[in-house]
Amino acid sequence: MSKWLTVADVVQLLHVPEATIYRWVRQGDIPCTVRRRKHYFNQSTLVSWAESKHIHLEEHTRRNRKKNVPVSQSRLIEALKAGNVYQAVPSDSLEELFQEVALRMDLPQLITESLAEQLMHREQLSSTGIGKGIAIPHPSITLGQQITQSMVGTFFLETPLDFKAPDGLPVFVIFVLLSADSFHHLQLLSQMARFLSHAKMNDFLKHSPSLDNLVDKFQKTLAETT
Amino acid sequence: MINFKKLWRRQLNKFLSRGLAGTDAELLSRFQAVSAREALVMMTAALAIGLVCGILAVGLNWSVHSLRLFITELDLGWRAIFFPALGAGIAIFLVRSLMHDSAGHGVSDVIKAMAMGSEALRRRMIYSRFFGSLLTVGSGGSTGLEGPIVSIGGALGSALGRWLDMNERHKKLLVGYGAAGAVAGIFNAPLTGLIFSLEIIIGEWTYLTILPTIIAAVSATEVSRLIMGNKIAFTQEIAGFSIASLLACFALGALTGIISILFARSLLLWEKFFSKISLHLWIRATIGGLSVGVLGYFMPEVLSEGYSATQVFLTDTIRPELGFVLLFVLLKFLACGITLGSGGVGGVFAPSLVIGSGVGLAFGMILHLLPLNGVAEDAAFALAGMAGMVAGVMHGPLTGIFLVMEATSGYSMILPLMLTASSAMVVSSFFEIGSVYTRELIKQGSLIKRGTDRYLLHHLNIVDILDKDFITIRENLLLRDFIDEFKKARRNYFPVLNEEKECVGVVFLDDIRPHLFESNLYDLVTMGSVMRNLPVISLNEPISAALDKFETSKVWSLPVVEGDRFLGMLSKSTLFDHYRRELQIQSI
Repeated sequence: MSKWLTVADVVQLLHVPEATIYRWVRQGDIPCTVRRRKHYFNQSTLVSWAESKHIHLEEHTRRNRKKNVPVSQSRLIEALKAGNVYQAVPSDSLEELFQEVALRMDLPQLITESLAEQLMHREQLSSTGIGKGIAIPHPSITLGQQITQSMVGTFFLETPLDFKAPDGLPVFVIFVLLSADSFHHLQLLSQMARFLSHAKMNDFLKHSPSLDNLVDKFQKTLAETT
Repeated sequence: MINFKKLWRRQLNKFLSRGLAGTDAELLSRFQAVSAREALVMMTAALAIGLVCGILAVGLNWSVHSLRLFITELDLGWRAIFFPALGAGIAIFLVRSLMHDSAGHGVSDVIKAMAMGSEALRRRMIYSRFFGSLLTVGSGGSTGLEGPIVSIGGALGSALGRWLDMNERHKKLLVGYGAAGAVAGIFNAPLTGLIFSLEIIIGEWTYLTILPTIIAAVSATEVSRLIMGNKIAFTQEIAGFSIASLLACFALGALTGIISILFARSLLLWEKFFSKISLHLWIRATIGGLSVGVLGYFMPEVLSEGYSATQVFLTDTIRPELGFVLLFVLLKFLACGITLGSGGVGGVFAPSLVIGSGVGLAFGMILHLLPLNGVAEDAAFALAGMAGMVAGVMHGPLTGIFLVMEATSGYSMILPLMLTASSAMVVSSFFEIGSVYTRELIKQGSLIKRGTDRYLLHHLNIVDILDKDFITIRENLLLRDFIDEFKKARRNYFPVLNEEKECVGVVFLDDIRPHLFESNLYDLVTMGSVMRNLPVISLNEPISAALDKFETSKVWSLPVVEGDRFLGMLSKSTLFDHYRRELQIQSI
């Protein structure tokens, strides 16, 4: 119920320096009230003022997201939780595996239908295997707003499968990366590629851990590396 | 025959740029001399326009009055109700079918031409508006001659500008001079012509607008005085104005402000009403004319311009009853709405004045009924009401003040006029964004004044300022291959195209810079997965809409498309570079 905004709020909303806000107030270019020598801006007045001047106000959601950028590490954990872990997934062929992935992950209908094809398409471009029996399949174009949150689904394969990885080893676990934002995509991909290449991590994954164990392990590794 | 245009153009350029050669320190003062020469050229043109406008204004006024006199002297009794129908029908048939002109409100056409380009004022408007308004008003249509004569003046200016092969800026100025001459000529009021043109038509008070407008107004007035004699429209001597009366002017201003809003809205309603009648335009006008004729049978004063009624209101000896005045205001209100709504050729200037005088007179009479001391004469309020109504309807307080002052040739009324006009304007603009003239234009977004942000943006063409020195990439491109590409790049963004060469997104170097040297990602990352989905600017949208997209997406470059075809990138920095250049070259 913050109907009155302070100068600091307006600085956030308009993305201009504080001194500029004060100058606008002085010049009478922005609607403002002064009480006890402090400037206050009525929210609804400010919104309609901005609309009439074709100024875009920074939305609150966007602001929150920007604040979150430094704590990107928790994003990977959240994505892992959202994606869940699946054990002993049938894996006679790539097609079958990806069909299984699409069915098991909790996704909107539209994506479920096309996910397998998208993953195959990406695989034909070049292998997503990163070596040591691990692959990170993902669509070649980010899903964007179609999903609410980035997710990483972990699938332990019933039988190891050849992913044409650079080191030639058959893959026993895949992390299917579905990102909601192209910027996050790169961050997540980079983090995962880094963590999963650790020797310890590889041993850990060989034991097909549960979601809780996996999350725990990732959190520890994250804490160590930073 | 020699090519007049070519010769003229060469001589004009020679005259304007004389002394501009060379690059010494005095260049600035020389440049001033050039603008003085420009003003001289424009003043000469304004003189010519003013003279012709004066003749046309007097001619129109005289012909209308002769026609009115002829009709009243026929003395046909009830059969006279058919005259307005006949006049309006013939006028619209003439204007629409024979001369292929639209019969707008006159002044709005001119204002629109000032914003969008003087080409809209065509030469045929001179004849069509002349004869259209002559027939409409002369036969009894309840509207004014000022709107048509202003568009005649504007068309005259535009035509002269085209004939002299002038640039658009000069042509628009000539339109403004024409409007000033027209108003000055028809009211025998030079200051009003000047103020009207500057306040309502040109909207810009500079060297090049004021001086030639003065010349046009003066010459038109002088022509009108030579032909018709220096007649003062309304003779009225007003003694002092007490403080109580001055305060009453605020109330009168508020009242006229509200009535002007009602008047403007009723015009719109009548227009809507008549546009629903799916008959030929001239039949609609005939129906409108017949209704006005019936009204005129009961009260002949509402017919035609109605200045005779105003003259009666201002004369002490033959003062009418309060009831008559109120009825007159109501009927005039109706008659004018029907005449203009049904498509009659005329303006709202005269009706505003006449209604204003009625409202003011009634206001004064009611004040006198109250037990108050030292209230000014009724006629004084009638005059103030005229100024208030003009200010409210046309959003031109100065025009209202000066018009009444000149029409009565008295400076003594200046204080009440100023108060009434300004409070009427305040009340009126509280309810309406624009005046009768500009409201439609504002709605269409085509009221763009020179020197404003919108004007500058309107004239920037997206195609001309596109960036093309970038490298496009495919969505399947791997990071490894991208690194080879980006070494060659000059820009820090890379539009991503799909198989059909459509732009599906843009990769910004800033987004991927932190990961450029992580070699384990080289085969894992495709460009399609790191591009940003941006709003695209389509070629036919205005730049202001494009700027909104920059605002919402918070990026510096956006892709521009025509249909599905990718044309290039528009960058905010290039846009503002050109914007500033436009600002710099705007001459005063």
